Amino acid sequence: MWWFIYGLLMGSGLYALGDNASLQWYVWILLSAALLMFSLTIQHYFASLKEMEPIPARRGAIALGTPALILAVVAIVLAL
Amino acid sequence: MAKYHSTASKGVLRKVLSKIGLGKARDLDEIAAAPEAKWKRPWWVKTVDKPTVDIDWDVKERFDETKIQQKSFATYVGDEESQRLRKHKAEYTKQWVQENRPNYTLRDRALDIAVRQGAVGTSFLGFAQDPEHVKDGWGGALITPETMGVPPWQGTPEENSEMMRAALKMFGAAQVAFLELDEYNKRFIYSVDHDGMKIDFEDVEKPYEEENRKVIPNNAKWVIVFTVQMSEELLKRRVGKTPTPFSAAAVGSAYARSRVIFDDTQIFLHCLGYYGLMATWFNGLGIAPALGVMAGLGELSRLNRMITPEYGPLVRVFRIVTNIPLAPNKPIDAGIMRFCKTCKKCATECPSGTLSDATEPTWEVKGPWNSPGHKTWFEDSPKCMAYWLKATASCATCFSVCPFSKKDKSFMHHFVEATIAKVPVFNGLFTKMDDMLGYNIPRDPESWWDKNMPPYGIDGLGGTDLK
Repeated sequence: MWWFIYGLLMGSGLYALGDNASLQWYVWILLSAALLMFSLTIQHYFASLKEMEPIPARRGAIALGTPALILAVVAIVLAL
Repeated sequence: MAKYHSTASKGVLRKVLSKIGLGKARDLDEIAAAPEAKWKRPWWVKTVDKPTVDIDWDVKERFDETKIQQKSFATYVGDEESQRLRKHKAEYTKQWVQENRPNYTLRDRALDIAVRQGAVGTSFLGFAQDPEHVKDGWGGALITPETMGVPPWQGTPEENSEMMRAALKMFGAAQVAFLELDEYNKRFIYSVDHDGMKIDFEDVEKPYEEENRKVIPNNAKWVIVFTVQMSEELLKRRVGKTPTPFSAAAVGSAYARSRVIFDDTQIFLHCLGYYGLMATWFNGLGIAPALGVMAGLGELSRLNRMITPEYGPLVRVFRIVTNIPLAPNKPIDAGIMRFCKTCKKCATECPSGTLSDATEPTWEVKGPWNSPGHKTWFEDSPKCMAYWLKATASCATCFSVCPFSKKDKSFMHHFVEATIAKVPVFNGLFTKMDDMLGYNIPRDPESWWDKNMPPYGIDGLGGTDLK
């Protein structure tokens, strides 16, 4: 259920972005990579909490989420 | 109308099939009928003809189980030292309980003692042979093919295997595989059992026991090898490298639950018109990890124990010798033994220095407690046993720090395991990652009492259709 909501949110966001801005192809690649990394971060974080592994959850989220954030920021800067 | 086999003659398909270990199948029907086809395993687990551990069949002989550390500890360290250590354990157990020392309190000890009750069986032949004590659910005698007026259950080896796997999983097994008891695999059946009784093979119809020996008929041509999950949440509740009654309870609980599976399986086989022979102690009848490796449940590791792709080393392994025809499974290669060469974490973290930290495995045994004839990292077992007594709790720190000791919810575990199997160049990195992510930080033992754990403290859905 949560993944369904996550997909809806991300899909809507990307649709709105594509509809309102004409982005370069490399921005799309960076955004896609950021989205993939962000999705993996979310999966690892909540799955690790289910595994009763709060420390690997946090450290893994930082390790995966930081590059996701950097990629997203670079994509946004390039898009502006 | 003739029934034609559909053929798989295309080169590409053959290549793909060989990658997943089904390359020798002649057609698609053979692939569908292969034992591996019905047993869903991670895609990176490849079946192979020979196990990843080298075995010298000229050297490998049946082993006398009374030589293992638990049975001959006093011989290896001396009577005086053995008595001293046992006294130490009793004294410190009492002292720590009286002090209400955290992690070693009365309730912690009680848990460890309680979960392992029933862990020791009573009969090689099984309760099913004793109709005075075993009744069906209504108080009546057990049904058998004779009392029902039908022949023993008839199925192909493949059908019987599927039936036995389904039944044993219902009884509580995590993994179930089968092995043919041929002239080679017979060498993994002990020559002398833990109780000093000889184990002989004979041309007789039914198994029997005498005062000093147990007899396996030569018509017992198969072994059912199964695993029982240990609770990771209990096992990882140690203090630094030191075990606690919590981590010890993880081991004891798995042994105790195996007895239910043994008894149920023996009764099940009895009702079908067959027999199953079992170990009558924690360890007995045959070398379980060896049989498990040959049956493809896992690979041998630096622990000189089996590590499975599904549960890592967080299992205990058991065996039942039977005469019901079964379709044997093949050994596997999931890159586990290769990973052990560079990882060494169990050896580094072992508080007693029992495990070898040599990079390559060797044929050289460490002592008479090792069964020679395979190339592995042999352990210095008496050091392990001595440490158990010093620590006042049986130790499984090597199991709990293993990078394969994980649950299976995060994508990262699957990603890492698949990469280990296929691209070994990253093995060293994964060992470091395991520490960096904090997987080896022990959990606070006493916090276990506040957790809302699933039954037996295990995630029993891993590797099943319900996952």
